[in-house]
Amino acid sequence: MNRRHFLHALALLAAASACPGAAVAARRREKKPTGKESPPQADAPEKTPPPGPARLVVVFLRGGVDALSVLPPFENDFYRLARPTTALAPPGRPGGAVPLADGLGLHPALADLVQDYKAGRLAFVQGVGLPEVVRDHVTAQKIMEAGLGGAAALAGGRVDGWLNRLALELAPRPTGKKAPPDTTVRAVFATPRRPLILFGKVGSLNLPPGRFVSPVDAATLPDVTELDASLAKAYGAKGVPPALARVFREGVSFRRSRLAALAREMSASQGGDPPVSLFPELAGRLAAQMVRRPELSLAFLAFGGFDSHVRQGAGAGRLAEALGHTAKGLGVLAEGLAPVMERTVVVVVSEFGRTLGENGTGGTDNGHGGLLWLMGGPVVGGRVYGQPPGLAGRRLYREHLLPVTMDYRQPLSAILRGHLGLSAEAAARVFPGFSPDTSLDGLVRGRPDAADSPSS
Amino acid sequence: MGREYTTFCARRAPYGLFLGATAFSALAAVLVLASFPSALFAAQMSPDQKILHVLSRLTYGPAPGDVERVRDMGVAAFIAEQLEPDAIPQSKALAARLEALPTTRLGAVELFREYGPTLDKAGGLGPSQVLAARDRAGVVSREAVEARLLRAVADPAQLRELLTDFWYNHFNVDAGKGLARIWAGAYEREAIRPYVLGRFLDLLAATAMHPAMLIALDNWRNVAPRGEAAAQPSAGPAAQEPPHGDDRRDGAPAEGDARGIDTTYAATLLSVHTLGQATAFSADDVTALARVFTGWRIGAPRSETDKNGFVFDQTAHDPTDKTFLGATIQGGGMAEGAAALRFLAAHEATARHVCRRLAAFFLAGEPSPGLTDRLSGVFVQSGGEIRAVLAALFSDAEFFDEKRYGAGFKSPLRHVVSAVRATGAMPDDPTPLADVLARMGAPLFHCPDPAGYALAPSGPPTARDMAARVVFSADLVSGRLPLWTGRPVGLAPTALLAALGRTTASHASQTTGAKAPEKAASAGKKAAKAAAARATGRDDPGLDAAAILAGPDFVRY
Repeated sequence: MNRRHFLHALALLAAASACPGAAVAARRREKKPTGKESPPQADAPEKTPPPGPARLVVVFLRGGVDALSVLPPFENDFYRLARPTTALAPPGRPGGAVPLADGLGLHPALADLVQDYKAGRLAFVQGVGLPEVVRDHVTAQKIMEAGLGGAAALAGGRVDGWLNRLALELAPRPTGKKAPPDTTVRAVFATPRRPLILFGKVGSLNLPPGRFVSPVDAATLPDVTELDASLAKAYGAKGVPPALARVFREGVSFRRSRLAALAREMSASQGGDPPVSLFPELAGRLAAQMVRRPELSLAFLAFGGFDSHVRQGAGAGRLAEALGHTAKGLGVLAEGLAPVMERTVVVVVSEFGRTLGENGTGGTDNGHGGLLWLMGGPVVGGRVYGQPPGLAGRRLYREHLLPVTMDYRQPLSAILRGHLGLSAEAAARVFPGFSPDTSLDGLVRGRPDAADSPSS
Repeated sequence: MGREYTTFCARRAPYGLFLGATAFSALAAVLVLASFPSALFAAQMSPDQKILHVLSRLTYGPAPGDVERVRDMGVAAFIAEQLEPDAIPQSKALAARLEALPTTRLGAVELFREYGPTLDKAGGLGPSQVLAARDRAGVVSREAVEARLLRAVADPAQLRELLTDFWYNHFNVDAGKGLARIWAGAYEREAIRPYVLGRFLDLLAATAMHPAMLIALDNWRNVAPRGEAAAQPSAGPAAQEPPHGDDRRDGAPAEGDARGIDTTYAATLLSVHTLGQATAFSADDVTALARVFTGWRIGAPRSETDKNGFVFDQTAHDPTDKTFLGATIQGGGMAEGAAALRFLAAHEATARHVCRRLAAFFLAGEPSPGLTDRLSGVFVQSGGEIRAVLAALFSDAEFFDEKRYGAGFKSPLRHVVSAVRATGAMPDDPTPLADVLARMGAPLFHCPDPAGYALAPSGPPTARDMAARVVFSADLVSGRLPLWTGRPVGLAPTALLAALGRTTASHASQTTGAKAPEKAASAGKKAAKAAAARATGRDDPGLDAAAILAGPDFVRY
């Protein structure tokens, strides 16, 4: 424990040189215990006066979250056909979905979020994603963090992140020529390295996640490996046609190389960020920091562990565990931010959704259309926005990709304008080249004081 | 036109009357013939092998108790029983399950009304309506798959189930194509299933006229070019209900586009359904035959011959005389098509092609030329009676040739169904098997090749398919594949081996040598293995159900 704290401090010192304000954070953090539900510090400005600044927390779930597991369409016949081992059972069965709305359920591991949904603080937007099909994690994450429309836009040299551009828009305009530049740090991130989403001119504060170990068994099929071993002997026995024995061996090596490739991909999809099991802990620390420092109006968290190519599972299993950590993390975040939650929007994104059909290793592959989650006081929740994905037969047998019916920047623009009070021009500077329509105008409640916000 | 059609139908009655006689005489002829060449063949199977052989070839694979039942009744009696499926008492449990699938009782027209795309108020049909209809039709696909899998697993008339798969593939319809998605199940029920042991011509006629086939092979858009079609006052466009030939063209099959001869159906009819060999016909024959079938379309009925979604559209028909395979077919509306089908069904090349495919399916390998000759003799003599051909095949010496025993490789469907049958437990939900089949490369109803899947694979499965079979077996045994709400007792290794007619000793002899080196594994590894075995629900690590169901003896049949 001591050693870990020491490493923390070292990391913080290193980060401090890059990010102004980090050292302060380090000193404060060392004083306080890192409990999941940390009590407010005595010296912290608790009970922040109600309005406060509008805040935005972006949680990036890396790897491509399976939208059909988060919001299982348990009544849909194609869903059951497409997902023999990963479809959630209907409500009432063991490991069954929690009924949410109109044929849609919530994954049982997310059951704690139902009350937020019912209370109108949680919403989902379906069919969200990149405007073009990008099935490579790193590229898709880059595009999404840069706030761009496609891979072609990445090619033009250095790109900066949209959260960085948003921070610039939130800074007050200098009043005179001689006015000192605004150096307030408005953004905080809890990833080991500064994420692309915060690349750019603006300063940001790092809350290092500390040392972590990512699970290494995510791409294994223990019982199949064992079965392969005992079958290898049966197929090697006398009397088995050589052609059959050869095909069996080829099948084994086919699976082995597939699993090895998936292991590499799954680890790359994490982008060096902590596993989602750290979500609750980091959420607690981030919330405490944000409550203490009201100027931190933008925050970014990123976790890996959603690239469920292997043994995704249904009501229980690898994805269920990851979603369980997510629900817990969101709960801790909401609790920690309770004093300011009325003015906070937490948005959960992922680079893409997953295929409709399963692959040969009990999981699902990189897809296209996904899901965006929104939580917080200003969210007009208790609803699922966007078009439900059509799961029809052709998709099931030939295409496998769920469509993107809404650009991911559409709901984000609605938040920038409705919640953070950005003008249309300012929002267009955050997402250059994207012009939102009015379909999601009712996604968040604007506040009367939103008009006072610094940007024109 | 109506009269012409009735002549086409009326031929059925005499054949029906003489069915028994022709079948018996054919059978007798074959038995006499068969006694000669049998001497030339290698040794016959042992009585025990014969039992397992008929179970693996006339059924999807033995279920618990099947081996004992066949031993008691005798191999010949079992074959006779399976050849008369209507006399086999239906399983009550299966009937109850099928009863719970309401869309499997709807005809093609009702399915279209309920689940086809609905026009919007302006009478238009946009992509959104097509998509909405497709989602609504999910239940039709699921129930068709469920019915087929349930029957394959649990119907006691197993030979009929195998033949349904055989003939569906022979007259393959890809449900991935346009409206065929809602009609694939109806096609199986209306055009295939009733005739699987009947007369070949009936199969040919029923498939030719079924809307699913008309969509799948594009004959609905096979129309005579303007000017050639019968010039009579049009009673309105033929296809009142837009048929949507293909998803890619969904929403935009303009009537104008469809003007022209489409040879897809004619070419498939000759090269796959009937004559087989490409040498038996020329490109001109294909075009001539396509012209014969112009106007065989889909729509609301306009005469007594139009039924179940089939429409003969006189305005789209090419009324000229055609020269087809050296014969002249006089221009005569729908009767031309009926005559062409009769001609093809009686053709000697058709007999050989169909008999060779049937024999290959049941022998799980290429038949000898002599056997094909004997069977096509029966086919021609009996007027295309499939039952007579099969009776001849199952009594032929070559069918029980020792070399044929366990020498075939299971198709994906046979592999999956035989595994479930071996447990003896009817699945509470068989639909998870649909995606398993897709991963083995053979999704039900979704073969894009008009020739269907290779039902009697000549070689072992592909590496990918093999890998999928191992994972299937592990998933089935561990319960990850939620076929049953509880774990069936039939999944115990000893029960499985008993059902498959294998003794535990013979199985152990194959794998014990293999198990020995594992004993050298470290204690920690062993403990982990035991834990894994418990977790996956394996009761005896030495006898592993998953290893049986993915083993070399189970992949073959």
